[in-house]
Amino acid sequence: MKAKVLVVEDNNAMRNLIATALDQHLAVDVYEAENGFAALKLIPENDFRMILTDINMPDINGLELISFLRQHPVYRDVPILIISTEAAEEDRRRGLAIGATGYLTKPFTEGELIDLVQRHLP
Amino acid sequence: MDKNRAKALQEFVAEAEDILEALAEDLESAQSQHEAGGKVRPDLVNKIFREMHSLKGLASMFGLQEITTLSHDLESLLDKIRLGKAALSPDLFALLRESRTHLRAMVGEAGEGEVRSEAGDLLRRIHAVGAPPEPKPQARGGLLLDEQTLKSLTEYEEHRLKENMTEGNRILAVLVRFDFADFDTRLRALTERLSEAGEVISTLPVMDPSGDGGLRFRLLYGTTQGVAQVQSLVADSGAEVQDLLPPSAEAAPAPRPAEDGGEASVETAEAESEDLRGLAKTVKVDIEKLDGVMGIVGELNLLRAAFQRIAEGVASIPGQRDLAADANKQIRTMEKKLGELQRAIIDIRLVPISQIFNRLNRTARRLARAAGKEVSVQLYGGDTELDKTMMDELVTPLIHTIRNAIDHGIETPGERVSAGKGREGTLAVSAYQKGNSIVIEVTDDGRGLQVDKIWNAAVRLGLVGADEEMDRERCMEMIFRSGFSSADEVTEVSGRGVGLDAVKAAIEQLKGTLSVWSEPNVGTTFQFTLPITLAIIQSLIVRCCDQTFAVPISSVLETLRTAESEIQLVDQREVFSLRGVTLPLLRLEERFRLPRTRPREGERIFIVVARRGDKAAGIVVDDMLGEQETVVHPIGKTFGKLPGLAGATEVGENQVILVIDTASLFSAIEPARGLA
Repeated sequence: MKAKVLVVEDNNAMRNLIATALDQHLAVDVYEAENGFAALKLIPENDFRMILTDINMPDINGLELISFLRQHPVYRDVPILIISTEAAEEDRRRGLAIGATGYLTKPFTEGELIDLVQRHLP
Repeated sequence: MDKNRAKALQEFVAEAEDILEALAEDLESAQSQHEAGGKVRPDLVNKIFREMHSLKGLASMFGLQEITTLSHDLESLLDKIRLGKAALSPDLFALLRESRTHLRAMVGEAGEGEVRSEAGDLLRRIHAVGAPPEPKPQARGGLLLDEQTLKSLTEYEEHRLKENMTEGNRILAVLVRFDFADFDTRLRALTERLSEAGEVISTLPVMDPSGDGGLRFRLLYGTTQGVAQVQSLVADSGAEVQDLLPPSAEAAPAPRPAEDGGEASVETAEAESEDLRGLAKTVKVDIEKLDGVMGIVGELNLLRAAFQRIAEGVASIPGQRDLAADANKQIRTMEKKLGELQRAIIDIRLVPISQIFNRLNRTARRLARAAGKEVSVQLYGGDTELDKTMMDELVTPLIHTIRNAIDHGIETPGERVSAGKGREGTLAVSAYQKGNSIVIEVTDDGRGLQVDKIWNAAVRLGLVGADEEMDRERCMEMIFRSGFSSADEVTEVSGRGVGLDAVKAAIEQLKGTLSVWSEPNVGTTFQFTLPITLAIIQSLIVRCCDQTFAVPISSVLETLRTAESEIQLVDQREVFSLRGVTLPLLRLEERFRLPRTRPREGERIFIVVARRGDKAAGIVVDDMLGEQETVVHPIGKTFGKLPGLAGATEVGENQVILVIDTASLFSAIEPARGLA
């Protein structure tokens, strides 16, 4: 069975891009969530091996999602990668402080994305 | 420009336009908020920031350097504004609006292949902004914030927290637990309600130690209201409210209604209502509430009927004719007004179909890519309005039809060229109103329905005899048959066992019809015709075994009066011969196991000839009471699953009667041979 990967990003174009790239280059099943709510719906029902999340999202932001996942018995050790902008350095720092595994700054190339995901995929 | 690049750019333009449109609207409301009170709601500023951020991401993804640069610098500026590092001003709004207009022009040029506009002047002006507003004293002392919430705040949220504290607002924690099944809608409703009286700064999901399958949330909330007021505001969600910043000397206490503070609180209330008036041009209404109002109108109609009877009674009293005439006149006015009220409520339920057009567009383009086809998607009639609940039900059948068109209709670029067509196929979705109906058409310029393929599949499935001559009309009907598929193999995008029969069933559920037109090598059109609303239906009221039922007129073909002796038995089944065509019959008393308390008087019976898919069947009833406009209410879960019933309605004398759903009623009749 392919490993399931979740992409949480509220920008449709960006999410599509990431999902398509992962789908094409890695043997993973990509799930997409357009906000924190959608992510919270998917998380208990799927055994995700990796989660990629944006930070600045309405309602539930990426930091809050990471914080939740790190208390979750199943997701305590699952790699979480932050997708953020260069400008959002402070938020990225906070994300790593509460348990994110790594990060990717926008804009990034497909190669950078695949490299990072491959490196952290258990 | 190479074809792929041109196509990619078209996609970029469509997405960017959506963002720029939202941006225009949000900038406008931000500016009017600013003009009204010098302040803009922080969530709106944050939304504008995120829109610019999305645009930048999109432009950089497509390698559009000029647009990326301008939107990047604007994003940085908006970031400063939302973090309180730059102040909004009329000049700044002018700059943002000009920049948006400029971006729009650049996007348009990008679609044509080359961005020619330069943004130098705008960039200079954007860089010149930056003088921060006068620094405000910021205090964090005394805040009883738990570490997890604190650590999960983004820089922006932390700024909002500080701002709330600086303004002397109360900082509260709202703790709530929701069931997993509906936490998103309930949390959203709670957030919306809280936002009316303050600002939800952050929403932290927390693990529920009890493991009861629910989700807990800790909301950080800034408000001028007191704990008790907020507690009562959120009472129905079962939320618990805690004060994280007990009032201290330095924080100015918010004015609260008190015996001696009457004036101050009136002023605040006025200022608040002024603030709300500026924002709230529209309200969101739960569709169930509208159904409730519609139900009341139905009850008022019954009252009107009761008055009518009283007036008739009065008319028969000697010397009271004038009084009765007067009463009748008033009753007629009331009837007219009730009609207007009913139409007004229906009007509220209507939403423009453009609400789903974006989704259709996106899905179509994605499917086309997956199928390796070049497709131009065109949408017409976005402002056509129809019932909101109907719209929601329409998405799936429409997407399935689009899938079908892309998968089976439109050819690959190579095939198209060989057929003498352009590489790119066209898929058009158009909507328009026609009388009391809405028509939606999905048209492709593909290969058309392949009648010979369909016929062969029908022969293979035993739907037609191998020796029968091919019939175009019957082919068109065949594609809507359950389990029918002519595809040689299951493809990536469609044909996963959901056929056009599912589309047809969904449309019939909505009391609509589906038809198809097709021409080889020219294309195919699927036409959906739907009533504008399902809230009110014209029904035929019938009686059987002293029970009253309503049959939606839309499914009634004709009614006849006949005698029991005219019913014949064929293969143990009751049938009736109508103009030489054999109709299968169904008796309501048998279907719903109604007890017949007294024998029917005489031989006379009525048959309601109703639609049963493409065919017809008869329902035997004792009597027919005429037509009536009925408001259909869904019935409880227990009955909802009973095949044959669509819901309940009220007619005269406060009587609740059941509405028959002919499609599921007839599902019990096995396909019989030789039917019309």
